[in-house]
Amino acid sequence: MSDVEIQSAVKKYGRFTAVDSLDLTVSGGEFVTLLGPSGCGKTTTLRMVGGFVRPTSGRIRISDEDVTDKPPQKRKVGFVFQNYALFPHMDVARNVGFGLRMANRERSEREKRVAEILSMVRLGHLSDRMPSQLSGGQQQRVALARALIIQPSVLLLDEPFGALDKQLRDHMRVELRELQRSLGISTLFVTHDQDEALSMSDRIVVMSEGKAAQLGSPSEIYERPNSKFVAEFMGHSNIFDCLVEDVSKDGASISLNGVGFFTNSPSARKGSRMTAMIRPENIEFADSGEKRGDATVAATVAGMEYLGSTVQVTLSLEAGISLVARQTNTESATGSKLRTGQNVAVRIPPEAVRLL
Amino acid sequence: MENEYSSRLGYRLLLIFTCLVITFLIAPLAILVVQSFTAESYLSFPPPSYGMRWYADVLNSADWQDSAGLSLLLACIVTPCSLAIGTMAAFALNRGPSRGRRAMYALMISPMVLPHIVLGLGIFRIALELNISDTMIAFVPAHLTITIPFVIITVGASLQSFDISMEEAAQSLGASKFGSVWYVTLPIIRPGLIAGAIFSFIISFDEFIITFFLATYSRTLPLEMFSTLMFQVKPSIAAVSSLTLAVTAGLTAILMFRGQVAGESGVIK
Repeated sequence: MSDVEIQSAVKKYGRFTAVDSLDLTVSGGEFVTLLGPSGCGKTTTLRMVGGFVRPTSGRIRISDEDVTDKPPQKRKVGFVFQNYALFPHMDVARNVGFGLRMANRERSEREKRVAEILSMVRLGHLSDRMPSQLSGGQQQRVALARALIIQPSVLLLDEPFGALDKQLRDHMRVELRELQRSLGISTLFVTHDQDEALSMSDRIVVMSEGKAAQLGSPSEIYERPNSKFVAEFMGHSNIFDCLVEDVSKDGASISLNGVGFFTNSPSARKGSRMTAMIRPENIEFADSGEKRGDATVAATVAGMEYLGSTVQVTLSLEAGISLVARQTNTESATGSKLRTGQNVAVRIPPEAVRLL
Repeated sequence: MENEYSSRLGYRLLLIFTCLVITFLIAPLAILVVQSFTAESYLSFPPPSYGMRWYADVLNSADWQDSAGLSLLLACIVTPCSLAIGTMAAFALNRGPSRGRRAMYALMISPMVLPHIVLGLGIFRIALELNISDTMIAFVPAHLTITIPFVIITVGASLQSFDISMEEAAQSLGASKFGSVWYVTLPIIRPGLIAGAIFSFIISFDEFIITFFLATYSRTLPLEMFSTLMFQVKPSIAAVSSLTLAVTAGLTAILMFRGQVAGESGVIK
């Protein structure tokens, strides 16, 4: 039993292929995120599930029923739009009750369920307000309540936090996720924001040019990206072309422009040119005098960027390699005491280096 | 508006100029209205004595009653038809294929700028062929050709600023395509619809040239006024003009004072 099943969906606009043979199943109250840059086909995919875009080929199934040829009103999906699309001529209660009115439910039943769902999103006291009198967060809750009242098989969210400021966004993200969990409703969420995707999702689909570049849990996507595109999109800053010099059972030694590193990444093939990714938060600063074996590399601090909870240090290595390290900003951390121009020794553990 | 840096002289000149323009526009109408209240049997300004004599004359005249009735009936048939067709056209131009959209738009609003005498002649030729001239079957479509462009423009402007995701939201909540337009789109673009309806009514009610071609024995109000003027200039014509002016100005006032109408439809700022 799956709530949503996308089977090799393709959407072409003339010669442009917006979605290219995408497969995805969402079930059992899962929260799945379609993540990618603009134009990657994530919104088109969501709109295909919602019934606003007809796939060029492939099938869409909702609750094990083929809905590919069905219009939105026959799909029982709860769609929350980017700008909420609240009806400006109806008050909150009428907005939320709209789905029940379309289903010809009795007035008394409608009023009861509207009251219930409004108290669930903590808006019971605002039921007679017009949408224009509400704050952004309140409008979003109305949109959510309106979508949920029809008891949809799946909740579809199209960048719902885009219009909110950062503090409210963080708050709404937790609130939405709690509500989604307590209702146990399968959810497909579209965003271009990695942090949002990482913090909310059970699974993430990173999309690129209409295809699923990688599908996995947030930690898989972040820690083990399978391509340069995914690594770059997830915000990794240290990505290099390298040569695999030697492979042993413990790992491999690689060379970036002649500077040697050691990695335990399993995919190394001797003699091949590959892409190496070094995660900034795993780069350690060796205190002067401390002997940490041959894994240390000499570097010069080229720049410091203060980010509040972390400090980002740009390191300049020999052979013109520039490396970004990120240190937690604590009293004792070496990173916060560094000065631009200082010579340092950095240790790059084998598990921090990943071959793509 | 005056700000702290504008010169007082410049501001005064602007004020004088504005007053002149307004006077130029209003004065002929004002004189006509004043004349309509004359108690004499001829038109003069200012009238030597005042009375409601000519209004009584007009309101009791079978000719004026019949022609006003025909004009009202015509406007009442034309307005809903114009609104329905114009709204559908505006939707088609807003949602239809983008290819050829501009050309189609230009074509559909062209009756606004084409000389009405040419339109009238063309419609008259067709009406003759079809043997329908001097009937409502000819008058209604003839008026529609010139009223529909106004609906296309006012409703089109409202649709331009309408967010289509609201229709999609309604559909995902169970509304049919038609239902989503009926419950969501039309109420939201209502200011444009009202503006289009009022324009249609006023234009149909005032229409002269095209109706003149088509009418043989029928007399709409503008036709009756014209033929009366051909024979004699009596104060009754001033009274009729004043009454027509009152209806038109009243409807325009509704249009203006519904603040939203002016703002949202984008026709009157």
